[in-house]
Amino acid sequence: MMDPTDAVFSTDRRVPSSHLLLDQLPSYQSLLYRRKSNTSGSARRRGSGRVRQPSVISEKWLEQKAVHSGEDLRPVRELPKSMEDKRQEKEQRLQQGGAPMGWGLWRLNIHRSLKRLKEDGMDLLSSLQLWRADVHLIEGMFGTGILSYFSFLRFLVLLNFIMFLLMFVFVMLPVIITSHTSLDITYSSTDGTHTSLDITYSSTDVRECSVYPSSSRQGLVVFHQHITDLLSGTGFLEQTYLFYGYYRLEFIHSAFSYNLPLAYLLTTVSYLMLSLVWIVKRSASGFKRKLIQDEDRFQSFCNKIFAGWDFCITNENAARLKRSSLLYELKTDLEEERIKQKMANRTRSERCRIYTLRAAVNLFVVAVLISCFYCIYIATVFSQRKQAEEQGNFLFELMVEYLPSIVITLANFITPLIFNLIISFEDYSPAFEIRFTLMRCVFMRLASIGVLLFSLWSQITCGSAHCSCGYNHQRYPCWETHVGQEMYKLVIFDFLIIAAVTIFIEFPRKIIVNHCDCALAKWWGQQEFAIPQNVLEIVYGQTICWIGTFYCPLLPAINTVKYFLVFYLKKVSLMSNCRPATRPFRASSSNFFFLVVLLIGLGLASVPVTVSIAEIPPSRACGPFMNYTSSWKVVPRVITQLPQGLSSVLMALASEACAVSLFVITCHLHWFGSDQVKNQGPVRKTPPSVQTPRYFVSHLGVMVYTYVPSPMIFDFLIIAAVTIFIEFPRKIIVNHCDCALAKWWGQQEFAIPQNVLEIVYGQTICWIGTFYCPLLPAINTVKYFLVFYLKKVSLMSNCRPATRPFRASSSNFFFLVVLLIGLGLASVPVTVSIAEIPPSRACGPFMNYTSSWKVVPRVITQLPQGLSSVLMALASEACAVSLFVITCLGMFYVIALAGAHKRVIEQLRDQLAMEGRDKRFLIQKLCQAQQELFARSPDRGCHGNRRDDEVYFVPSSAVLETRA
Amino acid sequence: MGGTASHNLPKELLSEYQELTFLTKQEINEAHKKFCQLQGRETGPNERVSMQNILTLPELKSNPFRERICHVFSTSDRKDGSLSFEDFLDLLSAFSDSATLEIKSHYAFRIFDFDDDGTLDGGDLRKLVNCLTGETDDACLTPEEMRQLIGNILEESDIDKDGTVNLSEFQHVISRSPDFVSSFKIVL
Repeated sequence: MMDPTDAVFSTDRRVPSSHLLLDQLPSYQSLLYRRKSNTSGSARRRGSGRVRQPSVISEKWLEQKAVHSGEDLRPVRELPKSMEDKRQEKEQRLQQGGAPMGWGLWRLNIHRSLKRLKEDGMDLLSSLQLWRADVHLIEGMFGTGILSYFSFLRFLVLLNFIMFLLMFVFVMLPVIITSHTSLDITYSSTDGTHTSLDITYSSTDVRECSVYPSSSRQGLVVFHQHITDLLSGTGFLEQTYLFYGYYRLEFIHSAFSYNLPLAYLLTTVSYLMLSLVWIVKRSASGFKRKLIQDEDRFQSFCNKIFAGWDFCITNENAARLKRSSLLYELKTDLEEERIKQKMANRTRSERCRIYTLRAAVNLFVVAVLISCFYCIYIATVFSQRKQAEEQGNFLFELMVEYLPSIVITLANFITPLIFNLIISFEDYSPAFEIRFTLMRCVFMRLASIGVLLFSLWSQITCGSAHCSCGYNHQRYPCWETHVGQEMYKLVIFDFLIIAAVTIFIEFPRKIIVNHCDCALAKWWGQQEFAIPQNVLEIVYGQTICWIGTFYCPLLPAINTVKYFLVFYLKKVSLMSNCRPATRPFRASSSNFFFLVVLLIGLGLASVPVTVSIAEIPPSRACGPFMNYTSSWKVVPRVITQLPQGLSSVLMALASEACAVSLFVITCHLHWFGSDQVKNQGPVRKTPPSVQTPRYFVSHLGVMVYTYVPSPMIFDFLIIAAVTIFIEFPRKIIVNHCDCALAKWWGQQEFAIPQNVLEIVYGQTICWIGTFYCPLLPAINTVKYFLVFYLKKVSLMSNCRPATRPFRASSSNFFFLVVLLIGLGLASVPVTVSIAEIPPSRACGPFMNYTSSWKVVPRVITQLPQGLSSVLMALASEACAVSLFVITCLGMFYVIALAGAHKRVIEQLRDQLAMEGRDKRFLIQKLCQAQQELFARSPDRGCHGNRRDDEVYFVPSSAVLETRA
Repeated sequence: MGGTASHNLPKELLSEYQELTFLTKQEINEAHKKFCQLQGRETGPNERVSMQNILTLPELKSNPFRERICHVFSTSDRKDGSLSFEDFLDLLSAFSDSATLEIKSHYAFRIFDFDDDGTLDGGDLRKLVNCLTGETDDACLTPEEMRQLIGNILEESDIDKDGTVNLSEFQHVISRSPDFVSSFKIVL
């Protein structure tokens, strides 16, 4: 019995050829097949992958291959065989397929050369990618975890560059062009013809507000002052393209008039939107994967062992580190498991102790954060105050300029150390410790920018009493430029710190550690290249850039250059100064984490930009928005200048009603998505559900403009009449009359869809009518009450149940969908009549209003100041837009969640199907082997056994055949 | 075949290799150059390079699985792990960026299957873990930890509960591992 088929059935899996059968298992084969069809987009998905060609050639399977190779069209290079075998395989295929002649050959050649051309093109494209060789080198030396940091950096460089292009094309280029040509320009000026409707200040104030003293230095300029200016964006840099204040044009008239303020505003909005969309798109795949991973976290050990080694690593040092980090990771994971067990066994008193400890520690953390924020606030206020005064000392001046940046950097340096120290008292599991510390650091970093902005804001908008221009015009004649300068300083300082740390700290440290043999140096060790901290650093920079771009349009360009240099700095730092962190950082989890932190930064950045666009009055002395009371006002003004139809459409789009309905719709989709996730099953549509809504809509559409309560009553009368005067006589006729016609006519069916439609129709009318006829719900209640009995009678005595069954599971859903359509339809006329049609002046509660909705704004204005302004802010476009964006993001989350669930279910289903196929395949093999056994057994005379086996096996295979 | 004096491969051979592997033209040429350097002299495609020579490649030098990789990809009859140029190309193809998951997981399985018996049993897993963490005494899991770890792995991956991981189980596990494709590659 040396036949391979027999070896397969032996229970000992150590027989070398046993995996030969495993390769043949349908599950394995279809696994391969499915993946391939996923990649090549083959039309046949997981079809009959039953017997595929084995991966190891043996005489036995070659015969089968000849039979089945027709369907085996995997490219030769995807076979796990040696080159020689692949070559043979290729030739064999060519022979079997018959050498293609003429047209076929030509087509094959064209196909092949096109494919090659495409590959070459892709190669060329990828070689154009920024830093391809560097990234390759880093990947080769340190593996994918660190690679993810650098590709993230590359992404940010690209993002900043695109942002710069946007700003450049739409804002700077027009200004540059007009300065070199003689186009007709309208400067924005407060005392020109444009002084318009919005300005309510007295003329003296206006003049005072629009004074913008030149800040460029007078007389002899010392060299170091140039340095100060360069580093802080004051002096000669202030009146350049760099800052907001320089863009004073309002219109450029050529073939068409170019509205610079509008362009400025829209570019700002679009760069924020672009960043959002890009980040979300980039994070989508990682997000889905994370959701999937959360599904089966039971696979963590396999992932670590089977995919643990990074085969890219070539650096001996990095390899050693990888080994130790893997060891560390495995140990901590195992320990975590033990700790989890221990945690589960904690007694109540222990638990109490730990919770109080954690609460205390968290209080401490909050205290640390608050003190840091307070320091930042004090520093900012101090620095702002000192800047207004004149100082002689160059260094002192620079210190004062950079005081907020220095304090922020110090806080960001110290707090992570404190957090790292105290987290060990809190007794979390090791993985959670890392994550929690990191989240605290993220909070610290990003909130410090927030605090800085808040303190700036409190300086700029000085209370209400002594601000004649809406902002502190004495100290900040052009406050946007000032904010831009602050952001500029932060960016420059951040870069200087990164460079300085690399050159003056890490490099000497490395030299000391390498060349000094004392124990202290050894203990200190080389600097670790900690990915989270580095990512935090660049996200911080990016957040500043997002905030600052509105005030300092060239900031993306500066940031691009900055990140470009940071890339090289970090590369040098990684290559020569640092060692990779002992704590490993996985590429799969890190990509998503980076983008989440970036997203938080973007959210944070958009708040101050939105507030300053929508709320704070723009300065009257500089910038494109001089003539507006808020930057946003440019949009309504442009809209009013548009042709009538378009402007009214846009107005309607921007109105509260539209925003609310959009919000409601997205909420519903959201809910629907999450509901689907819960149900996890596709809702099957029954045939009637396809037709009825259409019928229903057309039916109702006719009724909408007619007088409402009458159809209501009429509807009820019709139902009653049909029950009493049609169904009842029909039943009597059918029961008591024997003629063929009556039999053919039959008893009335109780058709559920039609009946549902009837009551939904009534309900829709009720919804529409309640606004006009407040008692309608009562009438409807009574109506449905009666309809219940009517229908009951009708069902019991007059009708027979429908021949076509209507499932409860699908029908419940269907009823509600129809009802939802009805509700949507009902809300349209009500909304229109509330918001648009003027209420009659002769009757009703809205006599005094031009539209019914107007009562809400009027009430709001009568409310106490604080409450009404809050409500107003809630109703503003900015709020609606942000709500909309948030719900969109939420929807994206739900959709991704649903996708992930679906994938898990699909996987499970595939797994089940495969198992079934495996079983069938094995049984077939077993039958085959059995038959072979019969063929030989007569010699050995086990005739008796054979009978039983045959009886046992034949039916099972027959059953399987029929099932297949 | 490769009888030309230059380091370049003949064009038709090159295009055949392109068809049979996942490598691009540049990568094949690069591989050829490297291989010729290892060989020390210009020869045809069927001349073998011994395992010791192959292992001097920087890409493999620090890899704990280097010997297993040579053994798996070697088509030598003597089972000495020596590689011909075509074997070398196969190796690079399997570890290339564009190779499919099935190819990668197939070879990964064979690399991890230290005793070549077609399944990953406890011994294989122990060797695998030792390769990953290094086998020096101070940097080793304790026997207790090792037992726990192998138990965990088998619990996660051994679907049919026969105490070993076979190829289909392995591929099943790998197909859901987020890091595998990105880590199982060698950049020449």
